[in-house]
Amino acid sequence: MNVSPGFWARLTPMIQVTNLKKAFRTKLSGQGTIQSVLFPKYQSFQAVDDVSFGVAQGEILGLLGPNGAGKTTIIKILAGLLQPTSGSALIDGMPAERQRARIGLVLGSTMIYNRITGYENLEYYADLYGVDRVKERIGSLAESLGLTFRMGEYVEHYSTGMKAKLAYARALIADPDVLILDEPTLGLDIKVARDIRKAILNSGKTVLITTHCTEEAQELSDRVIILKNGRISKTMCDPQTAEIESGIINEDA
Amino acid sequence: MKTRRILAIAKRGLLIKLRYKWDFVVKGVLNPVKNGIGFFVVYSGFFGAGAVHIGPVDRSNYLVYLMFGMIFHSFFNKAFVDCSEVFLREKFWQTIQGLLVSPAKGYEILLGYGLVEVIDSVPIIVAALAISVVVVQLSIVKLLAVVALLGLLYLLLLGIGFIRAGFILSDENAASFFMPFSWVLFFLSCFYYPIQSIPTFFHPLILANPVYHAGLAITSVALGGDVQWTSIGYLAVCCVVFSTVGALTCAKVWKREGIQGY
Repeated sequence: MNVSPGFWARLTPMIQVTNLKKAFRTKLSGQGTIQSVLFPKYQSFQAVDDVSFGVAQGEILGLLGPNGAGKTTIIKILAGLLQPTSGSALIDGMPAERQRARIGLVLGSTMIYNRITGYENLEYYADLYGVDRVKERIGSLAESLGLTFRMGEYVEHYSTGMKAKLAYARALIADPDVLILDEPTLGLDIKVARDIRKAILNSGKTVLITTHCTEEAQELSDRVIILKNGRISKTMCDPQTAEIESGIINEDA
Repeated sequence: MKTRRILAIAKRGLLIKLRYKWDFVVKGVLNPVKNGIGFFVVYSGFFGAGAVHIGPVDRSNYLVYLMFGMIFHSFFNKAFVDCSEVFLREKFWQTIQGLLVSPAKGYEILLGYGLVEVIDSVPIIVAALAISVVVVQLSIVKLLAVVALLGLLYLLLLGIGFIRAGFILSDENAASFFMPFSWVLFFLSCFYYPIQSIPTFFHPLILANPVYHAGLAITSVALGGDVQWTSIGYLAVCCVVFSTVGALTCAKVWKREGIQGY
């Protein structure tokens, strides 16, 4: 979208993350002794440390960072799968718990049942989200993602790319206002990744997408936030023209 | 609470269950028979040797009593073991998040999972009711009352089971931690033996146990005895309390630490 740098940041945010912190208690690696197994020691690990940002309606915001930067933790908090230690993560001014029907979530190819068919998967989620005219909705989603002829097959027979497309269709089933996508093209070949990126760009929705692929962040995002060690290290309002420092996302990986 | 969501969860569970037909045969038919057969041998030997009765159980009705014991045991396994197992399985399939981020409420999840798991118990329920009708000449009204009370018992056990399932989602250690409680609860529930056969110092604990009262209320009606209104009232209250606590706990507890272990 061709708008001036900083345009999105000035709009009322659809997603608002404020002073978000999340600490996990992790077990210290033992020495393999009986004592360390019976009486383990724990330490606190700060996965997200005072992160604040907003995503305006219709904006695509990329969260870019190396593995362990805190991207998925932020996504899980926003989706209501985790409670923050402090701070808030709001969707249209309310916690995710009260906005569940308005959020479409992709966490890789998870949340898809391999032991039932693609159609049954989408039908199940359509019923959970109270979608009307289920058949038509599934049909149009399957067609737009090129899944039509495989919808009657068990998902266990799908390729990784097909599962990724189905996961994306699952997120879109209730026509949500907000899409939260955690590395949706991870491990996919160039063509499938391109199809999914195209679908994201054409969705017209408010999108928060995490990736550790610089090119993907630049191609998709109106703004990019770079995360390192759970903190925001940089915000780029015009990522398409900006030069993301070489190795910025890999130095901690 | 939306029926559509409950049925969606149940339908999806059933579709997966239907792919494992032997699981249905083993859990629905063979497992209850395995659980009850030892007690059948003991009771038949006991009455064959000339014993007259143990509490309300006598030569004419012990088969019905044991059949209902098998239903209770089956419900107990469904709520306490199978529902938790399904949660664990979905945790490792990484599908449980799809349900947890959806608009489905805790109660809808509980009823959806409960509905699909109870299908395994249908053969033993039908067999027990048929035997009750033949042996005790159970009337239609009492038959319906028994079915309603079985529903309350199942809901109560599901509520207790879902508290465990919620903790297991976050930390599998909880599975082992809760297991001894389930053993004690099982012993104090008197599924296969009347309270009269247990040492009296256990009686206060048994009488405080709502699962025992459920069994008492159901077998009293099924054996053609007096209706135990006190037990039914206690069961109804505990059913509401535990199913609500179970549904809420399951929906909240895993969020604190996240779904860990996969």
